[in-house]
Amino acid sequence: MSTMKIQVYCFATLSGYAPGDGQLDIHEGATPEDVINRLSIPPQDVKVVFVNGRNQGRDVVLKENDRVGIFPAIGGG
Amino acid sequence: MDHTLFVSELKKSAHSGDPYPAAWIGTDTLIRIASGHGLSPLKAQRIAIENRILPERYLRNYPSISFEEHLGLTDARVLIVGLGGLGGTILEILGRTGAGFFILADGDCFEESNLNRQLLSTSATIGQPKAHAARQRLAAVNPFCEAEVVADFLGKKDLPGLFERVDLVVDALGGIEFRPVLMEETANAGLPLVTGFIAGTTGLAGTVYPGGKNPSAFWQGEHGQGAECVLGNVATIVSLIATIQAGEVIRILTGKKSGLADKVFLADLDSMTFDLFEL
Repeated sequence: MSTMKIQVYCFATLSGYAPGDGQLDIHEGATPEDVINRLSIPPQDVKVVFVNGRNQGRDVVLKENDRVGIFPAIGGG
Repeated sequence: MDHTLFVSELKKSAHSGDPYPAAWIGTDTLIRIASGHGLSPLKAQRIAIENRILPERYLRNYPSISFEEHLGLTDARVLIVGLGGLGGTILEILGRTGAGFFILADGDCFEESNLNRQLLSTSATIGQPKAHAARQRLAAVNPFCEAEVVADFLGKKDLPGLFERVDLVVDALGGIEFRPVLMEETANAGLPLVTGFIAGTTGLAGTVYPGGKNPSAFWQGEHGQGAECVLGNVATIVSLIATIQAGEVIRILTGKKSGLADKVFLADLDSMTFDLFEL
């Protein structure tokens, strides 16, 4: 299966799961759900996923060079 | 009510613009004249600005904030829920900028662990109710501002009575638990909500209009499950997000288009990431 490169940003308590340089090689047709699994992020800790700056959910099909932002619950003030 | 005599005295006491671009009057002089005419400082501020005399303390707002926009701020009634890190800095900015009336709500008291980031906390205010410290600070910063204090944690039933007396609600709460309730009830009351939430070095801010999109997905989970419980809250991101929220409040109160409706602003000061996401 051919692969593609995407950019992945993980924030707050999830920052440690981000790939080293932010870049991830993943199979074509992958979704944010696949990215979460691939990075071994506990799925229940993920509350919000943005793709290319839009709130698109976890099952949208990603494309080469897409940017994925992954967030836990955040509520401090 | 006829304020002809007050305005006449005001104009006599005002300074011509030079070296400033607008006519102006000092705070003490304006309040003294107002007192002689039985006017509150805030009412006097409004009449002065109507007559294109700017209280001296706002000269450096001008012309970035016009006379008309200053009237919008003067007439503004803002409920700030939470007077910790975000709320204290938001109040500081809105008070200095010239917003007229505040309801300040927080049931908490300051403790030593607040000192790293909460502007209203000092060694002297440890143990004091945050809401009372907020009112004292506001009075010291800007005597034209009016404020009422609710020194209790708000529940759902408390909100309608407060909402009917304000134009806008600021969500400066700590923790995820009450935020969805505040957001939903604010929308039900037909008011805009300017929200901010942070954890560690990550922070977000957005504006929720009735019927609009909202960032409540960030607040899923049980009490104590927000990332801030693990990472803490540091002063840099607190003050940055508070500033974004205050900027958005000022935009809305001065009649400008919201910059964060249906969006969420992100800042992460560890990776120096800044972005604007569409919800």
